[in-house]
Amino acid sequence: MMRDLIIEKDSLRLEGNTLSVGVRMPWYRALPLSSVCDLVLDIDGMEIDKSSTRWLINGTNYREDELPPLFSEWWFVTDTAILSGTLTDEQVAKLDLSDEHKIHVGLGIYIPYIDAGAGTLLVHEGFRTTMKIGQAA
Amino acid sequence: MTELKQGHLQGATLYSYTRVFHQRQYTLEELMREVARRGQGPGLEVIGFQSIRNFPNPGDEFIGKFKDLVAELGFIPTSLAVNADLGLRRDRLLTEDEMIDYMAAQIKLAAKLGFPVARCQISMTPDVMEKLLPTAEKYNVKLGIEVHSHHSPRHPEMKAHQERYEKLNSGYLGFVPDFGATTVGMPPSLIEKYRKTGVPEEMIQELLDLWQVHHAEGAPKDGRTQGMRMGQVAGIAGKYGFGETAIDYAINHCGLFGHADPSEWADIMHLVWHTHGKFFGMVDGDEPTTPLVDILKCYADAGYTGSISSEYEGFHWNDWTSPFDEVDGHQKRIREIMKNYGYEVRTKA
Repeated sequence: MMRDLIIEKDSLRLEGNTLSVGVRMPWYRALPLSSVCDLVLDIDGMEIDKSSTRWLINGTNYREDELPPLFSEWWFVTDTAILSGTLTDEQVAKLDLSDEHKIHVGLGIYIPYIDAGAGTLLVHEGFRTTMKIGQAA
Repeated sequence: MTELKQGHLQGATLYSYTRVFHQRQYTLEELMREVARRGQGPGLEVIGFQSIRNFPNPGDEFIGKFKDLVAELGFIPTSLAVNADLGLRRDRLLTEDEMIDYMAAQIKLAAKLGFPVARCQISMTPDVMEKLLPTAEKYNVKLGIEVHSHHSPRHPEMKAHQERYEKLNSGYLGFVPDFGATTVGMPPSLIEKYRKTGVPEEMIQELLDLWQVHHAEGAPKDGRTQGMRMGQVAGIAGKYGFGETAIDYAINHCGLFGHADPSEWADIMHLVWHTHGKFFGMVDGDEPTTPLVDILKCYADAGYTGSISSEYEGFHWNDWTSPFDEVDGHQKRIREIMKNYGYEVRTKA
């Protein structure tokens, strides 16, 4: 749903080896943080270190495995989450800061009110776009 | 000329404008002001978890401001859409008692905000609905299970709700029909979007053909059939290299464009508290997907004077037309049809 809006415009940042991008919800209503899973971020086809993935929402920078118990914390529809992760020195060295980069964001969201027969409906959404790495605010 | 009888209350759900709200082009207040300015009320429906931060506990300050704004803009609150999040937790489903508490909090807020109806969802069983009846009575909020595609009035689960409600005869438990349960095709704007995004004509034709096969078979009567149909759509998407987004095709195809006959609405009109006038996009002054003339015949025959929210859902894929224009067109067409049936749609508070 509204996958074209997932990656926030001009939100790509690189601070040290940490790559981050703003992520908008591909759904129409607030979802519990327990709904969010299967986070993917890559740049020019290079994957971040999976164990370094973080999800910043409501002022807290969560590891992905911290999200499932958070069923009373909410991702509101108009809020941007920041997805980040660590690149290796070799990966960073390949990034020309003046160039456009191919960005891919993926995420899974459980839709808590829809029973898919074999459990709660899990929707995987993702989007690919190109953008430059902007300056940190 | 015969005098027109009073018809239903015109209105809109803010869900119609999801894309512009999501994109932060309008705050909730700005959106309500724009809907009022364009005369797309006076009926106002809101999805709690969409429009209200910290729902269902937004605080007294929000409640006061919301009610003041409703009064200032001349809205008539029609329905607060509440969500039955049975799958809230990752480790297990909510128990029945947890579900009742979860819904009761939302119903209580509906009353505080001035909504006479809470739109409920099919993940609430007849038992849960019956156990919420004292809450509904206490707060004077009617509960309506949304009859949304792929369900339909004659789906066994809906029949079970209907039987329970008729037995209880409470005046508080009923339905909110969604016109998307009774469609006659896939929306032209969705097909246009497929073409814009490079979906091959062969795949589009396969999807259209499959929709017709499902339509000939009728609305699914069980989850297994629905699951099988979604699998068929996903299979077509996968075959043409769209496997990564197959679930979107399946949700659109099987979840939005229902196959029931419009005449089925007549079965439940005596229990309809509010209605989602679901539509997907106007074409030359008409809505080609939801057969309004046939659907509204049930409403005219029943002398329905409740509320109908125009509920535009083409926003999922349509990023080139204005949702405000879409709602304008839909409401105009409904007024024309109801006039032909001898009713004047209520457009003033």
